[in-house]
Amino acid sequence: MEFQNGKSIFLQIADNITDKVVSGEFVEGHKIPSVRELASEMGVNPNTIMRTYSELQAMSIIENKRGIGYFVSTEAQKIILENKKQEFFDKVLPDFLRKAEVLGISAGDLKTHLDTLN
Amino acid sequence: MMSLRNILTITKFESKVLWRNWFFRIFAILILFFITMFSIAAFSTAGNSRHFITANSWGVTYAQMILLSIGQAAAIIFLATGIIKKDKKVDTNEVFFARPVSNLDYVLGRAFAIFKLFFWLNVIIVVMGLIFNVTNPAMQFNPMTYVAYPLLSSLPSIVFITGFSFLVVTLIRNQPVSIVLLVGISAVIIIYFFDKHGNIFDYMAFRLRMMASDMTGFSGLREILMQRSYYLVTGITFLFATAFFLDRLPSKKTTKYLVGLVTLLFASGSGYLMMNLWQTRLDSMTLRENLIEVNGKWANTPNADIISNYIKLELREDQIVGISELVMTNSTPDQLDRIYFTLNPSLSVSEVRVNNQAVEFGREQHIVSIPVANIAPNANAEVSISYSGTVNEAVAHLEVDQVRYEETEQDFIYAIAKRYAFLQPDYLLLTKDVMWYPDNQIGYSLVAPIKDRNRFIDFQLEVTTAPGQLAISQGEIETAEGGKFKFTPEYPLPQISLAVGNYVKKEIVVDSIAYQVYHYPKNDYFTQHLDQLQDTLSLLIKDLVTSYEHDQKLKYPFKRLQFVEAPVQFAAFNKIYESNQAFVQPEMVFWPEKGGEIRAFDFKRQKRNMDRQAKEENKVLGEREKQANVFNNLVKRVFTKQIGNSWTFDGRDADEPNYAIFPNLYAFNSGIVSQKWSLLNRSISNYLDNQKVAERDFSRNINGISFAEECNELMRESNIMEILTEEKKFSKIQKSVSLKGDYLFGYLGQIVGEEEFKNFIYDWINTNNHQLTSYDQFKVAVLDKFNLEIDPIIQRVYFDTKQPSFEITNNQEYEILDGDRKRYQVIFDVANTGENDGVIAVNFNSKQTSEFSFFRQRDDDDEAPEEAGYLSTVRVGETKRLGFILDAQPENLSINTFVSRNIPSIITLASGTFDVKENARPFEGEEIIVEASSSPQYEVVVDNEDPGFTTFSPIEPTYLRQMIDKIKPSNKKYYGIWRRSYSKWLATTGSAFYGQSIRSAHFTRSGKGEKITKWTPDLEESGFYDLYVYMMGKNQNQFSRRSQNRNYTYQYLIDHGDGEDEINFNISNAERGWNYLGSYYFDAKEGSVVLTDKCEQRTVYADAIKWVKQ
Amino acid sequence: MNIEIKGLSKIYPNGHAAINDVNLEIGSGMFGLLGPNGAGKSSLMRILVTIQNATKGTVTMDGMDINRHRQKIRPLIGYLPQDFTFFSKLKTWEFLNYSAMLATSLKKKERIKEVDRMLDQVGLLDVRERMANKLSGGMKRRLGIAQALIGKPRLLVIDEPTTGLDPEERIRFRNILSDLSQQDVTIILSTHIVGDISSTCHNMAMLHQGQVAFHGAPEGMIAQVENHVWQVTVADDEFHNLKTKFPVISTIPTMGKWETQLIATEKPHEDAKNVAPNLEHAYVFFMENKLGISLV
Repeated sequence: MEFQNGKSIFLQIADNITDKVVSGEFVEGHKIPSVRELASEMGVNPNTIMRTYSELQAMSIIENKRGIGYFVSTEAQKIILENKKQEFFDKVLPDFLRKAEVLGISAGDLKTHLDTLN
Repeated sequence: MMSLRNILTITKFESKVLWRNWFFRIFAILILFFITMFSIAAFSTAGNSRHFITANSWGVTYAQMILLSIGQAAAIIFLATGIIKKDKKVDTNEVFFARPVSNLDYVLGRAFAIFKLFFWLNVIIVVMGLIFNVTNPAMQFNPMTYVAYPLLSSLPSIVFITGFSFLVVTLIRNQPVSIVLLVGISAVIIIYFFDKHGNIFDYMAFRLRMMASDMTGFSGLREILMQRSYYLVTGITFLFATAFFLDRLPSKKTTKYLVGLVTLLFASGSGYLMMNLWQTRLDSMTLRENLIEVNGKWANTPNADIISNYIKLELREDQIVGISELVMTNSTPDQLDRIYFTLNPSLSVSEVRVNNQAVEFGREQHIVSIPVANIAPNANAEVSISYSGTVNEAVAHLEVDQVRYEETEQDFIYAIAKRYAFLQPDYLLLTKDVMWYPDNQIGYSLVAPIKDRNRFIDFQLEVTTAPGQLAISQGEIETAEGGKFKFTPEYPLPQISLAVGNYVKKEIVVDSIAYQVYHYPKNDYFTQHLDQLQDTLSLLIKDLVTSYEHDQKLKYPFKRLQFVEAPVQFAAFNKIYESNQAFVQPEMVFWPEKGGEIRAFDFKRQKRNMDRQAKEENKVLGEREKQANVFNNLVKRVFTKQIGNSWTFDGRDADEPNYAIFPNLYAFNSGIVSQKWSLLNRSISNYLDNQKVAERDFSRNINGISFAEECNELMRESNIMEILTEEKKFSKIQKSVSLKGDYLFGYLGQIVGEEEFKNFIYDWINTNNHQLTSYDQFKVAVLDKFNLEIDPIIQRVYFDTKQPSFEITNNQEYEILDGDRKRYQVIFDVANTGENDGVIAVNFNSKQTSEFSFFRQRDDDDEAPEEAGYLSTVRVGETKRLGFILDAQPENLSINTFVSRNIPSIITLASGTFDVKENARPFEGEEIIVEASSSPQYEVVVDNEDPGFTTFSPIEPTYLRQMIDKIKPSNKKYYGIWRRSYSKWLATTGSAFYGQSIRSAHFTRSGKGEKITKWTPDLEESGFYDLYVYMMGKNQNQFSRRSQNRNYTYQYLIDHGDGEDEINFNISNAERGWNYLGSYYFDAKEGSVVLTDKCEQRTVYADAIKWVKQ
Repeated sequence: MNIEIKGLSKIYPNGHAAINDVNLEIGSGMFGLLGPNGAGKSSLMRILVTIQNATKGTVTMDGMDINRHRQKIRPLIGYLPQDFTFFSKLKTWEFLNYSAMLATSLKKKERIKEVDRMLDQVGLLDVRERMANKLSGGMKRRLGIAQALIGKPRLLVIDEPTTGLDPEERIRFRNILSDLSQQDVTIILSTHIVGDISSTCHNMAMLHQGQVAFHGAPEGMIAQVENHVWQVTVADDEFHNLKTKFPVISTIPTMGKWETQLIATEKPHEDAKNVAPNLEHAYVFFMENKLGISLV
């Protein structure tokens, strides 16, 4: 996996995993690669993976079954979508609105575009 | 009995035979080759050797003779035993001499044959040296060296070893055994007696201190001549003895007895010389012991203080005649019925007058005691003392132990005598260490620490010298006809010094301070390198002075600064109670002849280095610029110490010469005198001196722990006062005093505010220029200003042996946004788990050093932090959280624990990556943590210091190692990483390792997997555990150019509840700190982790393993 | 030179007497010293050349006691021992020059001339420049003689002069010696080779176990064996018989029989005839009959 500057690696890995959950590559209720496997696959320190998994576990996106490994929790997709929605409303939208205001785009201009959403 | 003709005949032919001997020819060729190569490298223009090797005009032949000495002795042993050996049957040689050739002729003839051969060898070598000397314009030509050293070094050596060999082989009658015996004795002398007993046994003059100075010639010539004569005469004795014992031809009884008589005569001569030598040394030792004892007797006797001392001195050849007129005052609260002075015991006092009345006086070694009609407190008395005689140097530096005192000063291969004063017709150098004028301070004794003087003295000095000489001392000079000099220092001083010689003076006045350089005319090697600085010199000096005064925050308080060249033998020791070595005097610095060994004085080489560097960086430097750089470099490295050395081995060299002029800013200018705390003034001096220390200290790499930590350990066992009187190793005393001083002032600074406290002291000094103040005054002032009683604090610091112990945990580093600005937050917790309150100083370094810098092996433990940093007190049992917000991302964080149980005592933690932490609450300052943050999960850590850690090695150490260990058994706990054992796991320390107060790890040379370490945890619960291993960083921070991109692994074997697993853990991706190893099920109280020594890196480290329950 | 030896004894601390009460008178000319190994010849000679001290007795040379006048006597002596074969790294002429410097007080030019003359006399002039230790055995002996002679000694003592030399060398040696004996020089030869003595010496002594067994002219010794030397030709078995009873001097196989010479006080065989004795016969006779040493 290619890592970009600007965002910490562990966040990028977390995103990568949540993307895979959303896309269905990682199936809910099924096992995901172990810490060491993933570390070796991505070429990073297992600590980083460990940290990522802990975060995801804290967010209940994955769960640890003792002795067996990490599994995608059954509610994972829902949780991820919720979080992403929250992020949208907390960050992306206010940014968008601010930019629109600066450029002098009115609500009316926007309405047409918004209508394309269901 | 003796026929010169016979002897010469035998010499002629035997030398011819010896010359044709293949052994001698090979030896001659080898030694000539060796010495030629050496001479080319050292003395020829092709050689590029350092300045000090060629600077001394006596050096050439001295060096050659030393190189020749050992080989020559060995060769003579072989040859001499060969030609006198006795054959079993009557053979040619025996019969040959059935001639009217006496035994004596026989022996002397053959001895002279050897002498002749080696004489010519020496001549060739000397001529070679001459050629190199004459063809090298950088070297002075001194014809005396070509005569002096061969005569002093080779001649007695040749005669002695020839005679000795002859005698041994004649008595033992067996050549191989004789050779073994003689070579053995010589080897023992070189190895075992190397510097002992004043080099009395050094018959080859290998280490005898014979270096001559271009200013003052030979030093200790009498002793040198005596030692060499001893061996010469003893050699002759042995020759005659050989003739006596030689069982060759029966001769007349009378002849034999005559030879025996002559032998005894020479033997008594040599015996006399040896006795004399031995006695001279013993006398010096006894004198020193006596003086120390006398000091002890007088140490607590009250005395008057000296207000002024007017000295009139006349120099007569090698004697001085003087009158000292003193004004004394009684500063004690009681009446005084006696006053006393210290004066060199070789100066005899002819008259003492008190208040213009001649009085009786007593003399005990160096003490002149004068009974007086009671002097009331605060009353004055005028005392005049007339004295004359020579100055015995042995009285200087009494506190130096005999071994350190007799250690030979060595430059290159030249062995240099140590002189502490000079008094000869053509040169004089006297400092207060040799008590050349009456003073009232009692020196070193075993019963009491040295008391500071209470006041500075108003000196005046009048000196009458021989025509053509210049006198140098403190103060303003008035000269008059007939070699009269009068010195009037503008300010009271603690001491004065005097130098008289054929000096030449160079002076420049900048900002009303006169800067003077005194040197001997022939020693002017430097003007040519600084000739372009005529106009800019004053600017350069001004800049230097400004920057120095700015760095030190003190102004230079005198009206002149004199740089006086001192002969190469002038030596000095570090002292406990004084912050200056004898090289630094008020208004004066004695710099070594022609710059001595100091690189900064080697201008030619400095310029050459500059050229090379400029070329690399594609720059061009003008000559003037180079000269300015060279000048600045010299001043900043040697005299102001604003540039430090790049490395040091702390604790090794107790007496490295120190020419820093800082004492002029404090010790000679001001001071806080405490009769109770005699170390206080010294500690203040240390505290104020902002000289740069060396960047890297290698003592940990070699010893496993740093020298400072060794001293901390010492200070746990004895308080500082005990260390002062009982510790044998001076460097330890010095370091301990300095550490305690740092700690004391760190502590005071922390209570009161570091900046405020330092400024308070600067103000105090500036208000009290050119006078001493008392501790009581100071104490009161501190109380006034800061409402702080410093007495109990000082008492505790000086007498306490209990030390704090700090544990650093919970180190967090992240980037925060402060508005639009990126700033860096560092937080960590520090807990004091020791036995005493403590202070820590926190520093951040943002230096960028190259990854591939040669020195960067691990975290830079032993790099000096840049500034004093942030101070925080942590009481016993307390835990504090400290937070820092920085503008620049730091490279590392260093925590100086001063005097503590911590190893390392300065903990350096390299910073990792600073991830951005959003919405982080910035925390700056400190807060006390009541509950230590502990992890919610059950954790067990097994560190290499814990009992659960074991090592195993089936490999036997080498035979040599076993022998060394048997001879010098070491009970060290820690070893430096430079000693990589291939048969054992050894422990070492460092900040990069895991540990609570002792950060250590075991290490060994990597192997095939035979050596292992094992961590056995004491788990209370069964269950699944995540395993973590503590790493120093990527590839365990071992970098090498080759292996940048390689991956290395450590081999771990996990013995867990479900079986055994072997893991090849990739350390090339590791981070600093805990690294995830794997997850396994462990039964309670069972299981282990093993690390083998199998690795492709050179060294394997075993530190700590952590079990975290899931 | 005239040498008188009176009551000379050399007894070692362990009791062994190398020489026991020897009395001899030796005048100029060649004097032979004969005797088996261990007879005391070497000890006697070492005492004479003052290398060793006697335990008892006196030796006077031309009236001078050697114990008291060592310094005066030594320059008069030249000595050539048996083992004179080890030479250090000097050239032949250098070696002789060295001896010459110690033995004479000639100035350099004279001395070199004398050295060359001596070399010529002993036939070593053409190997003058050769290293002394590279000379052949015979040449070394000759060099030895040269160094003994260079000081123009009045007494020359030579131990085993011709041992190991080939006949030509031997003859040359004897000639040198006989030339010398014309002058007032005493030459003492000690040897096993009887021929050396018989051909040159007019006076001799035979030593055995430290004592003098015979002292006088060789003829005297020979005379004592007159009529005791027999020659007979016999067959094998008889020959063997004779061999066991009498010392045999020589044996020549002749037409199946043995022509043999032997020593006997009485006629050993009916065919035996007397032959004229020589010194060798005398030597054997002495050893067998007078000294009881069986040579059978």
